[in-house]
Amino acid sequence: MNDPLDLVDRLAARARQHSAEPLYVADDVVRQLRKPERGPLVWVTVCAVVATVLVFALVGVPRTEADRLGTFFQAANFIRTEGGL
Amino acid sequence: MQSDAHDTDWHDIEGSLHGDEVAYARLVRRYEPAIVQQMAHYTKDRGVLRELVQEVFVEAYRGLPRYRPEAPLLHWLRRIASRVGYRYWKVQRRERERTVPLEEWHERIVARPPEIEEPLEAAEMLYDLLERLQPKDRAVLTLMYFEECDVRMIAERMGWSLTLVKVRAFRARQRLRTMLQEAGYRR
Repeated sequence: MNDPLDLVDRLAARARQHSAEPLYVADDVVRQLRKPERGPLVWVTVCAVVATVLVFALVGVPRTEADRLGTFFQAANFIRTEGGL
Repeated sequence: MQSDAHDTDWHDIEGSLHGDEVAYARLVRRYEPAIVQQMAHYTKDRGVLRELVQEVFVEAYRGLPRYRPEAPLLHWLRRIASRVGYRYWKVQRRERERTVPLEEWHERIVARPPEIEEPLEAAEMLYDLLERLQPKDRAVLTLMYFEECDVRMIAERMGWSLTLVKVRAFRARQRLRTMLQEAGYRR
């Protein structure tokens, strides 16, 4: 039995003789280039997301930690601090 | 002659870099036949083909400041085109549903061997066959079969190492062979 890839090689040789029908895109490309790469709405959204993440990172996380620690010390009331409080 | 073409390109590239749209349109018109021919290996749909060709030239425009004139502009454009096509396949793969079963494809090839196929039919049959592979295998074999690229050229186009291309080409051909044997290849 022959190698099936011989068949593919022959098919490819034939396929290479085919030339695609022409297409003209120059005007569309130029039109597309005139559009801004990113619309202002995209930048506003990106800034809003970044700002939210920053707020959570700077304010949200330490507060949560403190709350968690507070809950821990309230639950573990057998732990006495140095002042006896 | 080649140097003249290079000088003309360079003149238009400089113009484009300074925002001259007419100069860039000239570049697009000069190279669109070659890029259309190349991108036609990535889709059969004329609408998608148009979009892909546009994407290549838009991406080329945005990357123009990074172009170095040591290599001809067409080589650089072909590299962009190969990556645009590969990216398209990766996205499309997730959405696509196969239509023609391989057995049917095989029956057709047995009924009409490649020698008597029209080039367009042969191109479509090869396209249908390669479509069944993973995008990375398909990319390597498309460049090999349709564009007669050797390992070095594929590596350059795709930005992969020579070893990686050799391994991928070997495995892709192996998968193709197995696929055809399983479909009942008997010629």
